[in-house]
Amino acid sequence: MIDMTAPDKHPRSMVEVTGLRKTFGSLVALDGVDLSVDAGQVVAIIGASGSGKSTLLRCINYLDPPDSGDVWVNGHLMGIVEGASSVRRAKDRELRRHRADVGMVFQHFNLFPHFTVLQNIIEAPMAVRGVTKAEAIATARELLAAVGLAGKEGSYPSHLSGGQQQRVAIARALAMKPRVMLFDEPTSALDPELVGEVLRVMRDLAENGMTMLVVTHEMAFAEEVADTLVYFDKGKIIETGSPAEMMRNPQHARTQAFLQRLLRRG
Amino acid sequence: MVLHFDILRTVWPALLRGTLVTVELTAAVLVLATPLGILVAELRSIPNAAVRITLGILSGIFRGIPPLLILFFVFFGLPSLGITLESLPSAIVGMTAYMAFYFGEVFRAGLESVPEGQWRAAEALGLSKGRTMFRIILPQTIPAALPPFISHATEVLKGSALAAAVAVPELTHAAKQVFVVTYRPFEILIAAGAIYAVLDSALLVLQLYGERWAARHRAVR
Ligand SMILES: Nc1ncnc2c1ncn2[C@@H]1O[C@H](COP(=O)(O)OP(=O)(O)OP(=O)(O)O)[C@@H](O)[C@H]1O
Ligand SMILES: [Mg+2]
Repeated sequence: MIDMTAPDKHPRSMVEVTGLRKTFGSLVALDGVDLSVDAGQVVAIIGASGSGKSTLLRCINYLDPPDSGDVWVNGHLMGIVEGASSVRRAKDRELRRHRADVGMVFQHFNLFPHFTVLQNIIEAPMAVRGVTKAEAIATARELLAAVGLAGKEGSYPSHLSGGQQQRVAIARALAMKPRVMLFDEPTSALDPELVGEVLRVMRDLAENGMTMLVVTHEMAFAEEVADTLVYFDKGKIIETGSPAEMMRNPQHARTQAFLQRLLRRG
Repeated sequence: MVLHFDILRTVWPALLRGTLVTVELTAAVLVLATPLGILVAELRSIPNAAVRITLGILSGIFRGIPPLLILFFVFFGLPSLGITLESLPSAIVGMTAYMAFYFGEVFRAGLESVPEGQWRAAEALGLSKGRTMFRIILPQTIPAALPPFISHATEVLKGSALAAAVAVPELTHAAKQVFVVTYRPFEILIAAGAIYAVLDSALLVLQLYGERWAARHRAVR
């Protein structure tokens, strides 16, 4: 990997977001977001629909390049290549390599339906990381065992339950050996009885030291697994703290109202 | 009326030559117009409005005027610009020109049938745009795009008879040439029709094969 960092600016955290701003036309989706996540930390992100949670995740891996602000992942500045004397935007190919350090899991799994479970997992490591097919398959089998799906290599996604599909999607992201995992409402599309199996996999991952940003409204999970809870409102982080503390005693009126609605519903 | 199908014993070499030209012309147009159609479909989905609108207008024009006019234009019109093509190449160019836009519509509908999330998942994994297109997206367009693709391919096969108008010795042209000298149009035209039917079924086999592939790969939602 290209070293894109000047040593003096090297942040210590695994993910460091500063002054992130993103607009869609006249709509301000992210309005100056600062967030710092240490290695091995889990951050749970909550907030009303349309508050910019997905946009934040998509800006972190540059699926949506932010208008301004910086994203550092593992000491590298995303989307920017710093040469000896110049700073420029990363070309597509360089950006893809930056992005490979960040795994992403979507609400609707987005597995490739015409690929088997195994093909879903080995495609990107082979194409992007350049690992051999044998290595990719070995890694895929280990990951499938880890997410409780050993023996499902040959199945097609349409033959799996939603919970199984989401676990395959997690294995697919992990096969790229990312340093950070982003989860965008990973259990919102699941039947209630399938939520637990996915959260279990995510908890294992957190216990094994993965740095995670999780947009979720599963408050029990957030309280148990997350180190930090972040409340998002209109493109801004308006409150952040330990999950238990924040749930018991939210400081901001909007956080209070949101949590009340959430807990009443849940 | 007495039918003399034994006339075919004398004229078959001429019909066979015509058949080969028809196959050659159809195959060349399909091979050229398919990737161009994919390109048109892709260009029509990019953000640049000028490109999208220009292609939309061209697509309307090429699909809206008689194919014969396009063939005449290439064969008789382009020499005015100093571009002179033999009959077969000019038929290939002319037919490819309008078929690229028909296929463009087919693939555009096909590409739109693939959920946006597929692109995003591939992008998040770091896959290149080209690889995403060919490995992830296009295979998933098969269920939606294959039936109209094959029916357009059948149109190409039938439409190749128009090339007779620019002196391409394809099957219909060959059939006419032999019936005017043998005075057996009925038998010869039935034979030519039968040959077209066989060629049509080859395309249908292609469709069956594609549908089986898609079903095997569960690309059908
Ligand atoms: N590609 C886009 N084009 C235009 N507007 C967008 C786009 N993506 C997001 N937005 C807008 O940006 C705002 C933030 O959207 P975002 O999806 O980040 O919210 P969210 O917090 O994830 O909401 P939800 O809980 O519904 O998923 C919304 O108003 C949304 O309509
Ligand atoms: Mg969202």
